[in-house]
Amino acid sequence: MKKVTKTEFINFLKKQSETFDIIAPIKGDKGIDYDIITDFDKIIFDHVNTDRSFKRFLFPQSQTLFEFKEGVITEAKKQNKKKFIVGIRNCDINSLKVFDYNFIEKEPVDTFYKELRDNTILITAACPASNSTCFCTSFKIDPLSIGHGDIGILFDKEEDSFYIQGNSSAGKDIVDGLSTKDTSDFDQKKEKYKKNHEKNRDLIKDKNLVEIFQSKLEDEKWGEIFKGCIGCGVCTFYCPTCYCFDIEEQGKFWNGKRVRNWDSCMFPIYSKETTGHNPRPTQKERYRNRVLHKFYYQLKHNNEYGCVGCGRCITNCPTNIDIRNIIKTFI
Amino acid sequence: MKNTYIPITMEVEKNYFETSDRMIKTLRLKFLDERFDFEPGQFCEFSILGKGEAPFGIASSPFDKAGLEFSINRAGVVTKAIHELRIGEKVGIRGPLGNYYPVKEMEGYNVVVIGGGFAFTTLRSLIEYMLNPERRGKYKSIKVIYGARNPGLLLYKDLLENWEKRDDIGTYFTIDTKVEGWNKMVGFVPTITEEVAPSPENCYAIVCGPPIMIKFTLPVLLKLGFPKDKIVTSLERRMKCGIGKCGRCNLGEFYVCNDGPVFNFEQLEKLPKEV
Amino acid sequence: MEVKIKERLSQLFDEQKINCAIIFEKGTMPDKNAPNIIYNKEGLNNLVWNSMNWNNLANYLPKLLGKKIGIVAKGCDSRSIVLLMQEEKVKREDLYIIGINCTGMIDMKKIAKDFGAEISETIFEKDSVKVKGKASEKEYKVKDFLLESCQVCKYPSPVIYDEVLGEQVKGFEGDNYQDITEFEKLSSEERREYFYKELSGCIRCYACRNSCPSCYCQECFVDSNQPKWLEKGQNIDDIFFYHIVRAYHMVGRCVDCGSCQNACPMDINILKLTKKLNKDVRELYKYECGLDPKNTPALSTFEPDDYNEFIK
Ligand SMILES: Cc1cc2nc3c(=O)[nH]c(=O)nc-3n(C[C@H](O)[C@H](O)[C@H](O)COP(=O)(O)OP(=O)(O)OC[C@H]3O[C@@H](n4cnc5c(N)ncnc54)[C@H](O)[C@@H]3O)c2cc1C
Ligand code: SF4
Ligand code: SF4
Ligand code: SF4
Ligand code: SF4
Ligand code: SF4
Ligand code: FES
Repeated sequence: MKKVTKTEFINFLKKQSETFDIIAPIKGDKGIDYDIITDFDKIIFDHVNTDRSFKRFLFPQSQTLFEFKEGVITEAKKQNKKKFIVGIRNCDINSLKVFDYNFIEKEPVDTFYKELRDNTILITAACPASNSTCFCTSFKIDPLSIGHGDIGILFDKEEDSFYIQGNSSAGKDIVDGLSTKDTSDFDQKKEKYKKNHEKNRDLIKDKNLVEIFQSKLEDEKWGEIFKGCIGCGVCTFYCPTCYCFDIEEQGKFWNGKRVRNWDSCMFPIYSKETTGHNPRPTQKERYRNRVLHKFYYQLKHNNEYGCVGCGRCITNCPTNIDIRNIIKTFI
Repeated sequence: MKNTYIPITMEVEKNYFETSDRMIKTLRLKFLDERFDFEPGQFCEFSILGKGEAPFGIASSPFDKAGLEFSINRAGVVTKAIHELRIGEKVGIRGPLGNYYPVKEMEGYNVVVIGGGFAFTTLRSLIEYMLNPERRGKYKSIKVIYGARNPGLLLYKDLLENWEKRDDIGTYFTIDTKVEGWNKMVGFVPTITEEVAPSPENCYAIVCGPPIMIKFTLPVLLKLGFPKDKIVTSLERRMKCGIGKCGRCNLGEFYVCNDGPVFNFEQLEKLPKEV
Repeated sequence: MEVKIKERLSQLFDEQKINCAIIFEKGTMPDKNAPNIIYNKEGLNNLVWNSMNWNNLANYLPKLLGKKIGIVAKGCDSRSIVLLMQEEKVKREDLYIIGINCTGMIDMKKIAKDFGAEISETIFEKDSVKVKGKASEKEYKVKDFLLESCQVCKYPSPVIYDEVLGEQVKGFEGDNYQDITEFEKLSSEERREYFYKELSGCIRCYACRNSCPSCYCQECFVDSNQPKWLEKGQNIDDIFFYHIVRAYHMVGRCVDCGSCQNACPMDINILKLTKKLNKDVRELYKYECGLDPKNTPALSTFEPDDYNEFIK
């Protein structure tokens, strides 16, 4: 581990920008969100979390799978600049367990995701505080960890300094060149931030959700909990772990491209078949699917939850559907 | 590493209407530079560039190595474009996708195949596979119960006649209501199944057909004494990627494209009722 | 107000005049309330009435067709009810409308920005809200932080109801499309630039569409693949196309409730488009929708002497 001043850290990022696109949180019209950085002084380090997760940089909302001209298929042109994403919170970095499983570990490998994943350096940051909507500790996530991603940092606002540690071999190589101050007070600092996370609730408390949900697939409560849900794409598009996509043809007959776009199991059309039959006919079944996919199906197959407790679906839902209540309802 | 979304190119070798209502066309595609083997029950994503992709079960026998056959109902954008294909045109195919009928587990068992309407495609592949001299010895008796609304809607009529002539397969072909010139069975598939009453002893039942047929055939089989894990079916679902990535086709905990399309009823029973 | 609404709905359930009710429940967050459909009076326990009830509750009516419905309706909700009656998505005799004289809904996003810290509690008084955070507290006047649509709402009192609660409120008397008049003065390049910038943030979640009571089509044009009207990626022209066509589908049908814009997680100003068309309808047809169930919507009438030079 190393310790550097803020100026040193910014200079370090500036140096990396020769090889990488630096993506980091900045303040926009709406709130704090990731963007490609041109002005390094604008990067924000002490926020709780970004409006949206960094998912779109590894799994863009719209991505060309291949192109075709006169019926001849060619690979889509790719933008090759490597990425360096700074400030990823612990909930969000854990979403990659879901993505890696679905797109890499489970055969066949999705080359689009893998390529972006391989060409991105991920810098996670210990969370300075939890919001009332944070519940990552339910999933055994430590908000103060700096052990995930290629590099981990802890920003200490008081001293305006960064503790920085390489985790992967690529990360270690990058961090290697930095000079350092004494880091022996790291644990002390970490301890200091702990109290900012008291709001973060463990809602699951070691309960076995696979067992619980297995017996509740047709529970009558499913008929109530979706309340005023309007079936939009907000919760799933904002969710760092949601990976569903639709494939569509763009262009004309024989000339065009095949593209994938984010999709959401909350849209009625998601499951509607050509005959008009819809196996999930109402929002009740669709909402149940979203919950079960997150807390049962994925857990059973991948031993990972499909939720990391970031709270974005809660803060952005236009009808105040709160996934924490759903968990509480069933366990 | 290979871009798994790019199809291989195949050529239309034959295409003809399969049913009298001209809604179903059978296409035979010829492998060109690239080829693959498959097992009975698997499916492919069929691409028409500029129109899209759609999944179809492979209807030909795995022993037929030169090409693939599909029987395709005209339903929407892609299927309409497929119906308009001419001999010699090139199409894209991604496959083989999904799991297959439990042909290994079925060795040493009797097999009763029950089909309805145009969901007979992969059943044809299965039966042709089991009847192949290399495989026939591995299975005991084979019975086929197959029905359609009227004779014109039965698929693969020449083949059905061939099977009738053989003595290593029992055939029970039926139509819903009596018509002039039909001298085989009359009645709905579930009723005929009850009449034929295949013995559940050491036996697999493979059932494919419209949901309504499945719904009424299942209780018949259970009553006959078939255990749920020996009743096997193949499901359809709205699909996109076909390789377990896009999430579209999930039925409960399974992705039908990857974990299926073949399931037994013991598995299906444990899922939310979302078929 | 809350107590009164509960009391009335409870009676209506008892008298079996209704078998469901569309209400607001106290939200799980200090800055949100939750619209909900309840089927018995136990469901009334969490009922809430305050200035965070911006969702247009008429949005849920088409899905409940055939049921006896109790609905709590602000001015804008009531206008949507009128519109849905005209379009036969709901029958008057199936409805029991508890009208609310609305004092306007508050823009919690704006307050959150001003407050600066995470909000842990909101306490509503008659015309103000006390916002509490971990270390600070601030009081806001509702009228200073009204949602865009509420700032210029001409019909805060329900236009149709079985009974009405609250004191009569005066509607906005100025020109409610003033901002559009200003906007029209910009050059077409400037206007285009404005929309391109604004819409470039759109993630196509369709919360705007799904939050709008006038958007109830079984199959929306964006979802149709035969014919396919537009592509679904992030191309700005497709996004623009979606918003323009949606706005056109709202001509003579938009009640200016703002529900679309308030639902947008990306804070995109989509009211500009619908308001422009509303203004045009008012000027060209002297028509405002959702006021009188006996009227026919502006674009659903045809007279032989209508201006028709453009159909050639
Ligand atoms: C495993 C399996 C095996 C099958 N085997 C056969 C078979 O042997 N024979 C047969 O005839 N049929 C078979 N089917 C059914 C067949 O796949 C469908 O009939 C076919 O997909 C219809 O395609 P279409 O383009 O003609 O229909 P359309 O309705 O025009 O389009 C369907 C395709 O487009 C997508 N789509 C439709 N609307 C939209 C939209 N708004 N947005 C995004 N996507 C949209 C659908 O998801 C689907 O992929 C099988 C299906 C499965 C799953
Ligand atoms: S839960 Fe909320 S965000 Fe998700 S689909 Fe329903 S209304 Fe939209
Ligand atoms: S389900 Fe909600 S809380 Fe969980 S990871 Fe997704 S957006 Fe975050
Ligand atoms: S919750 Fe829904 S949209 Fe999200 S990954 Fe699961 S199935 Fe897909
Ligand atoms: S378009 Fe917007 S303002 Fe108009 S009725 Fe619909 S939700 Fe309300
Ligand atoms: S709600 Fe906002 S982000 Fe979503 S589709 Fe509408 S304008 Fe776009
Ligand atoms: S079709 Fe994509 S996961 Fe099954």
